[in-house]
Amino acid sequence: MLENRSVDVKNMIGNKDFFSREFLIWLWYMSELDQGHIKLDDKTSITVFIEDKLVLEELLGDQEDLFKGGVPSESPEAKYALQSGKIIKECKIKIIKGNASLSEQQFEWIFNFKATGFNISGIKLPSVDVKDYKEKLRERMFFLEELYDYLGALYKKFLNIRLDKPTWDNELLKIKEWIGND
Amino acid sequence: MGIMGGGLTFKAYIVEGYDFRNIDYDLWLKRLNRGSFKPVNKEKSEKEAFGFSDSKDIFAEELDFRNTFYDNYVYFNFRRDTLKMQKSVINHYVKEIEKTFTKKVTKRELKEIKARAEAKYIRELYPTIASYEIIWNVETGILYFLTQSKAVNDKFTEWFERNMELELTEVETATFAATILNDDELIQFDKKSPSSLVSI
Repeated sequence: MLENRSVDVKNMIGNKDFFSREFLIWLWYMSELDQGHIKLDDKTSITVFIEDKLVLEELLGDQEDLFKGGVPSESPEAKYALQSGKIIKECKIKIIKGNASLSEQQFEWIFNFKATGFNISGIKLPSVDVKDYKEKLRERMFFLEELYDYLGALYKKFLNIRLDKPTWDNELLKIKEWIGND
Repeated sequence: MGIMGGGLTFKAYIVEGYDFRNIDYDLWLKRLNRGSFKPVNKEKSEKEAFGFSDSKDIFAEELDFRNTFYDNYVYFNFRRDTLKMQKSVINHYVKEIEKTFTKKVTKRELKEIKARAEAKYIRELYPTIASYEIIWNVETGILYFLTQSKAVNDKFTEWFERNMELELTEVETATFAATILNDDELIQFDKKSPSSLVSI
């Protein structure tokens, strides 16, 4: 995965966190389009929310704004912090698979995401209702790896836009319009 | 809280240096057991011991094949025992030993007294035991180490690389991108600088 690549990946470690900061803002933007429904490249539909916790920080300086409870990303104060140039330091994200209105079974993942280092923690997996030790291990790992698949697919969707200059310029205009900085 | 229940917090690593289609599991078990946990050696005044332990029994002397390999997963623990010494207790023992001296102790003697006091204290101490789960999908090459403590992660990665003769690289913003981008995309990724969204 990292060996024999076109660039020395290990030299990039710790130097590319601006991508995860941009990714989180893009994810917030996406979570407010079409009620958070996102179609992944493999046609899987998931719903993404920022919920319960959102921390924005100054680009220069130490001031932070913490929004807790409910859906903080929908609060005008959080949007104002973004308008004033703050960026997301960390947030709690909920991903839902399955559409209840289509009578599909729903599965839900909740986790904390820190932009520095693309760091996820405190992951709550969908509940596993089996008692057999090995079966439980398999199911829990299946759900954990499914979450990583979704994160990889979301990150890839973002990078496909981000790495193509005309597409990103266009997306940036839309994001700034959404923020209110157009 | 762990693999089998509750919330999950970990650092994820990319493991490299093997071909998942051609794994010698007996050799891997030997290597894991080479790095298995050995208790703190109090005679040598050790204050810490760490190593791999069995997924079902952290007190077992060796890892059991059946508890370690499940389907395409390797599941085990990293056990770390520490002897936590309180300064006040060491000072008490130092004073006790000093009383046996008839003359005023020199700096050199004081150093020796402290060493003797620590050795005496260590013999009476029981270690604090901590263990951290590891689950590694050998097919995807991703290993999850269930703690984000930097000190413990540093010890674990060094120990794992030395004993398993494999390389670990932390999954983070750039390395995660490398797992999902092709070579041309990775070159573009490397060339980009922060956009106006996150820069002044």
